[in-house]
Amino acid sequence: MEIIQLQNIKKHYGEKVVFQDVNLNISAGFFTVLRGESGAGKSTLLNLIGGLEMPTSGQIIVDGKDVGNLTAKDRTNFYRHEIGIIFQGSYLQPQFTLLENITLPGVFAGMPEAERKTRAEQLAQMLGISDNLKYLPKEVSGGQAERACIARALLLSPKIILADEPTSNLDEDNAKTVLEILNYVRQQMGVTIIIASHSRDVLEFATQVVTVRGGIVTSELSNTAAMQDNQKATNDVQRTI
Amino acid sequence: MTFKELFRLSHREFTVYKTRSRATIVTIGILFGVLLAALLIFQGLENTTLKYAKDATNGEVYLASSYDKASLVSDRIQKFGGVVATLNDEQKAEIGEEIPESVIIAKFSSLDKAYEYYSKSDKKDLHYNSDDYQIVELFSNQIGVYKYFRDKNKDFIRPISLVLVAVSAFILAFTMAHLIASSTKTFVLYRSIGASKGQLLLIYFAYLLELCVWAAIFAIALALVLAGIATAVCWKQLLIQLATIYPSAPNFWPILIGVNLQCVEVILCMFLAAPVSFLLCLDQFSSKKIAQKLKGD
Repeated sequence: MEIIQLQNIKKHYGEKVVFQDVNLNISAGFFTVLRGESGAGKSTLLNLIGGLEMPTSGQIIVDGKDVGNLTAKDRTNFYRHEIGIIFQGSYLQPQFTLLENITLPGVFAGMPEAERKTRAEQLAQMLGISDNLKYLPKEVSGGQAERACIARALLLSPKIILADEPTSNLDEDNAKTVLEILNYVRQQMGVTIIIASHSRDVLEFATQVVTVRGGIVTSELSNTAAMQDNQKATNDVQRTI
Repeated sequence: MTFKELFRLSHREFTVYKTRSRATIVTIGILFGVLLAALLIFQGLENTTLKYAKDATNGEVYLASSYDKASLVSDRIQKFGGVVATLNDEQKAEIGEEIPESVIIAKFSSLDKAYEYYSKSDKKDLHYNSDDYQIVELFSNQIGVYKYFRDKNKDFIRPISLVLVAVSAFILAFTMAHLIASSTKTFVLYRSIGASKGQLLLIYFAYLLELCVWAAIFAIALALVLAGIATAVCWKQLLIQLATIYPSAPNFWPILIGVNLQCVEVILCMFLAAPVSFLLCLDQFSSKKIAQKLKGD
């Protein structure tokens, strides 16, 4: 089942054409990798899917909703329940502890304090950062901060995670761990993962590879093992941890 | 989102942009502090001078009036709560000259009422010629002091306070615009993790209010210090002058710190600047602007 559909998408910045007539489908439970050189438009494509930028023309359907025509209230609900975004460079609020950062979506969504704390602790346990929750972002390693970002994105149990270069600032070992965690989240929670990355390591986990080059977007399914894994994940969706 | 959480998030902006926040507080605080100090000193001077003037006549205001129609004068005195008085010998001696019989002496126990009578604001209603209607204050000049400070307020303090409000609103708006321009990532982050546009607006509005609260505290402290300095510098000279003008009034140490409604108005103006500047920046919160800035980052 397709959870994301991009139909005849055009994106211009003034005279500059970024995308010309892009059509793309992403199925639920996929681990989709957006590949391409720097400046090719990977982040823009991610922002379009996430509704952070609007296409010049065309339609983006995410879980049956036209992202371009959401009302303000629907857009807020879209970010609360449909999408979790992990920004490039583990963007955490520097004045808040990891726990406070992770629970931030719950604050906006009006989740009771005790509930969001329990949920954050469960996620931290799963992601291996439960001992670091009381620290500020500057007091933990890049890998731990990245995991906190993943936990924050997962707090409200979204159906889709968008991650922009989540491993760009990490060493090889930490990068691999973060990718394994995202794949684990996909398998255990049935979350669709879309990663923009130019790293080759990420391909190991991909079920779909989308290549962005010169304003043209091409898509191909990836290795069989990952696809079988994907089938298992979509059949066995666990919405709770 | 509870108030506690709202202020925690808004306070984050304050701590992240500490230097700029402090610069804004000091700038606005100085602008309003100087204005507040002027108000405190003027009111303090007015209070002191009026107290001396009142003490000279035991708090009563004596006004000598003359007009062709004596009945109109009597009616007006009664209308404004005064009584027609007869001067005793001691008072006559103090004046030092004979008062014509056509002159009516009125005694008021309230300065406000006496001023209303003196200002002749009812001349159109009662159809009399105010130029021919002569009124002179006897024994002290409470009316003169009252009028002097009232006019200074109208001609000097009020226009300046309006200009300062406009300047401070401009500084606040500039700070906000700068803050918003440099907060694009925070906006995008908050939006992408489920903050509604209203919640974003509230966070930044609360930040602005926090700036105003600190600026108000700074302004009040600065005004008190300046007024205190003015008192320390001027009190001796002032004491000599007051004692010369009102020799019969008992001496007391003049304090040039007085609070009036206008001080409260000035403080309120500071808080008025917050929503005004916020309205100027409202368009910065639109999703379209945020998306544009996201690309610009």
